[in-house]
Amino acid sequence: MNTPCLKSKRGVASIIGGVFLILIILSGYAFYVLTNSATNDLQNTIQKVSVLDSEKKQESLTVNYVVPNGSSGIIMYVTNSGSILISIKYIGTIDNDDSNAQYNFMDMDKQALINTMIETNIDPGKSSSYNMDIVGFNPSGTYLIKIISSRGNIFTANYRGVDINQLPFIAVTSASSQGGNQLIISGSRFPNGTSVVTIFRDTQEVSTFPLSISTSTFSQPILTLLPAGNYEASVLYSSEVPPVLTSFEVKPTITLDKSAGAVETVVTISGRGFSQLSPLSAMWDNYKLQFSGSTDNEGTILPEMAFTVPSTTLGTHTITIMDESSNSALQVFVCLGPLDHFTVTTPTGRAIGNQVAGVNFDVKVTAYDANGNVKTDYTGSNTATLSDRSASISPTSLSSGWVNGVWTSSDAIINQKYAGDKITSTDGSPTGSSNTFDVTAPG
Amino acid sequence: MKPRRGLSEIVASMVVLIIVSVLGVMLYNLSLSNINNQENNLLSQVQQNEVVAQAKFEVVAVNKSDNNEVKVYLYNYGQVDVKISDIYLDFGTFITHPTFNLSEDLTANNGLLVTSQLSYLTTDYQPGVVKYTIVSDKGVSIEYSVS
Repeated sequence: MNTPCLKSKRGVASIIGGVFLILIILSGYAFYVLTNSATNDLQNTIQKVSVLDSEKKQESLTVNYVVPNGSSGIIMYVTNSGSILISIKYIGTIDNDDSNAQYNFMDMDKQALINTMIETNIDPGKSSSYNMDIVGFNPSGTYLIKIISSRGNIFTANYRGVDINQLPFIAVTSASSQGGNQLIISGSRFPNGTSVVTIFRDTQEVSTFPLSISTSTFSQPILTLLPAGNYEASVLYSSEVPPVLTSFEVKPTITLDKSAGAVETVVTISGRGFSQLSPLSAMWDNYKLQFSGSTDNEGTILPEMAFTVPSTTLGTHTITIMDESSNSALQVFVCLGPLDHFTVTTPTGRAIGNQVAGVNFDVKVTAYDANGNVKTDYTGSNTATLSDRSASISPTSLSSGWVNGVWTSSDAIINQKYAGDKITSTDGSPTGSSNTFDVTAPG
Repeated sequence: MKPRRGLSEIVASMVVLIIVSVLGVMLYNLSLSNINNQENNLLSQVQQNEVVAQAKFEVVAVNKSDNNEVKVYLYNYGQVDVKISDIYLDFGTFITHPTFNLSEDLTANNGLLVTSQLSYLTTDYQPGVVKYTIVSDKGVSIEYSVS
């Protein structure tokens, strides 16, 4: 009766042994999986580091030029001559001429935070420039420069001293001869020959034109109309040295077709250097004028923009034209009253000297309003006359020949001798006389 | 008598079962312990190798002023922070181990300046090539020569 039961218990030990064997095999398999995973992790890390090493070897940076930035430091022009993007991490300099000098390192990440124009990443084939201020910079000294990339490459360059008083320079100024309404680019210390001027706005090229340099200097108007903003002009005259740069700001300028006039006079405004395609407003001192104007896509005031002189206090007033970006330009306008009096002088405004009867002399008559402003809108009238005490002056009519309130003649003549003579200009009640002088007999 | 015959078989089977179980547990524990030890060793080694592989730094420059203050500029371009543990100076004729300020870590993607005053070298120092060996806690060392 017990035999089958005993027979069935015989295999239990084998089962237990088998279970333990399976557990041991499973543990071994788990160990294999973990080992494999760890080995893979290590391989991945080594591969990443290998990629980093490979990328590091692909980096190449060429320092094209190192030039002084005035007396504050240096500007270095670099080109990524490698096959991979380079991120500049630090730039350091040391004065080679000073045995006690210390390295001066600039953290480019921090610089980029301060100045968003600084580009620390340079794509392959692209160039960039970096300014580095150096305390106690000596432009004629020598400096060692180290540029450190994020992948740990260290590129070195040298700054060899130059005499900054011999370096070419350029400047952009307003032409005063045109009321500041024209930009002039000028430069000195350039080699004679041809060059190219390029104008940039926010690193975008907006204009380029050739330049001819003789006697090592040049001065040329910038004919391109530039809207208001900050610009950089660059003159490239050699492939072996960096372009010469200067920054300038374009501010609006305006011109009035007349600088003075009576109430109700229509004044036409022209101007440039405003924002592009912007509506304009006009102020007469602190009062807004009825004015409808705008600019074209070059920031120039569209033609036929005019305003009418309002009823106001006679005298000097300020006209301000402003675009929607608050760029503004102003001009002075004199509001003239009715004709009040004349002055009679020589053409240079001096007292008339003694004259000889029958001999021509120069005379100038100027019309004024009551405020002493020249009546630039006075053009003479049929009742305007010239006379003298001897009653022998010629011409006697001042009905024409007036320019901007001034009548001049080099053919005035008094035919009779007269002691204590005086020339008088009259137009109705307004009148004015010269100083007293003598007219002597000829010979 | 018949029932007693079967009892001895049962006892024998139980004894065999106990022996197999004890041996099995011992063998399993031994195997598990060995496997764990080997696993820990491997993971530790792998982690160390990974850290060593990721620890990368360069000596950017070395500066020695007239008063024998030495400045070593370092840059960590690796993926882990590094602590500089020692800096050795080999003057050719002798090797010295000056005290640098090494309290700060050289963090990943950052630079670090460490300095030391070598005043005692003023009489021994001879112009020539000085080899700097910078050793990190990751076991990575960099050599840099200054003339």
